[in-house]
Amino acid sequence: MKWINKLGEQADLYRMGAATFTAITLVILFMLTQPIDLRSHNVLLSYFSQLQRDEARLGETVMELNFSLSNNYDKVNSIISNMREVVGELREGHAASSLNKDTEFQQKLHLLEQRLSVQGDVLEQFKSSNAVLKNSLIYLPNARDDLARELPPGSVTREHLNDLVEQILLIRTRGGLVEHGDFNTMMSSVQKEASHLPDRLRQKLDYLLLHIRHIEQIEQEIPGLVQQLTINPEISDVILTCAVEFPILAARP
Amino acid sequence: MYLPKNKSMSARNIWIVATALFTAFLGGVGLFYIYEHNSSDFSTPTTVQDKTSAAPNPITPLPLSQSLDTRKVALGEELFNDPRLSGDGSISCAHCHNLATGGVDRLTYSRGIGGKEGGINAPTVFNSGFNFRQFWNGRAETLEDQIDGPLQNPVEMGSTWPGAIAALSEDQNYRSKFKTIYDDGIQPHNVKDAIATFERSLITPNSRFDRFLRGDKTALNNEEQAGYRLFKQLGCISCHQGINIGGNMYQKLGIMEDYFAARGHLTDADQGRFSVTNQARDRHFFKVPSLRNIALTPPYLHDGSAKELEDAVKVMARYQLGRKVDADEVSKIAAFLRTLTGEYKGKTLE
Repeated sequence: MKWINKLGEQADLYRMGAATFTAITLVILFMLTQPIDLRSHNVLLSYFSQLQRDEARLGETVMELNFSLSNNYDKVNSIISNMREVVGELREGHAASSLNKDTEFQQKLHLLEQRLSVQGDVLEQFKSSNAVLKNSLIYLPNARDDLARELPPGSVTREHLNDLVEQILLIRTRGGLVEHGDFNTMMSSVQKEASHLPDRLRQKLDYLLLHIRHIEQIEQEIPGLVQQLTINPEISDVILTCAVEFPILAARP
Repeated sequence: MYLPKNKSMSARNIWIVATALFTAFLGGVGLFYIYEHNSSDFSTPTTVQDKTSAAPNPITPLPLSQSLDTRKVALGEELFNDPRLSGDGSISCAHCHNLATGGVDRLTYSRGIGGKEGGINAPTVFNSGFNFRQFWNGRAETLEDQIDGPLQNPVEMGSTWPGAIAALSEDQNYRSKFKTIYDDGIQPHNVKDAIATFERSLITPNSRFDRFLRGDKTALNNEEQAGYRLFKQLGCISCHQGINIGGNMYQKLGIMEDYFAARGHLTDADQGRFSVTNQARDRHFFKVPSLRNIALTPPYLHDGSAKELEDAVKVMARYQLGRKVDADEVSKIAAFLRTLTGEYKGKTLE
């Protein structure tokens, strides 16, 4: 009967072997039956996610600069530079090597590069204008006070000047000049009155009016630039389309 | 036939099922590891590490050190000082960017091969790695791209890449060093890489102002601190900010008053960024220069028209800021600017 018992023990071993084999097979089958190459998918997705994050951070940083919460352009330069690097990496690096010959992908990258280039130009305009604006905004209140001290109390020039400075400093909170015509009339009348002032005061007033003109001009262009840098569907749409379409395409076996 | 008792059969079955489940569990853990490993490797592209975590102060101090490939830095230094890169073998990069004189030649316009005069003031090579673009008109995006300019400019080094590579290839020392660092040996892109890496190493940290920013309030005397306050109050800081105190934006020269009409004799170099973009709005726009080590790099402005630091401050106040500044204010600002001189290789620049 020994041989029967031995056979029984071997049968147990066979059963165990079969169960293990089945479990391993199931695991291997699970891996093989994955519909996409998760690795390629994740790599590409991470690049587009990075672009989306950078785009959002660009907008956030521009807002900080616009509202004087920051006065350092290194961060914004770094963000746009990162975005260019990511697109460059997608074009030339290994991340999207499986899509090198995909015409649609290459076209989308080209489009993205073009739009980033335009975005870069807009950013440069914003930085230059913002710096000039900030300079004038720093200057104006003190210059007004300084001049007002020297103008006779109750003089028409002093009153007009106060109104003018008040108007220009409130542009942003009011969302633009309420009456553009009024502003020009006020500027003209102050300039006329300036001709009666002594040379030294007139020179001070000329500088002040120059700054007011600059603020007025720049305040007209800044909102458009900020909008383009913070809400730019031309860029976000391309990134989103790429993020939806191409990681799956790259991951196909 | 072997017929086990019910009890032992049930125990055996449990054991078999447990083994199978354990194996499946191990497989699952393996799979999980593989996917996690892959995704952690690539969740953030290597090129897009966050380089923007610096606090948003208007000016930030320079780092005290950098991590660069020391072999490339050493090779780049040799190349930077090698006149064989020029067409007639007479001048090197260091000819116009002399490290002993603040990284410039202190001439109004630099002189290239055969004594030919250039059309613009040479900017300093110190801290140039922190500039967002290179050249006054920002036509080169990187230090590597920038090297093409002077090397091939007929009034600067007057060379060509084939000529320069041929000259360097005759030198056994270079052949051996390039082969050690670069798989493809002496090639234009490797020469650029080595020189640019050396240039990135040319940082001048630990200026008195940087020490002040790091909390040493005794690093600046009262006059210098007053100068810094004026620098901020007058609006200089609107453009001269960031780690390089400039070098991170373009600005028009003559915002408040026409600088070029006042100076006269318009040159090609005066066009500024317009010569790169051909956009009318870019006329007379220049990269805002870094103010680091500014006391060592006269004359000032792209045309070298301001001979002294005080002259440059007056020009900036009038044409850029639209302010009238008195002699005392100019003197204080200049005193502050002199605190921006940093150290190179542990010694304060002179």
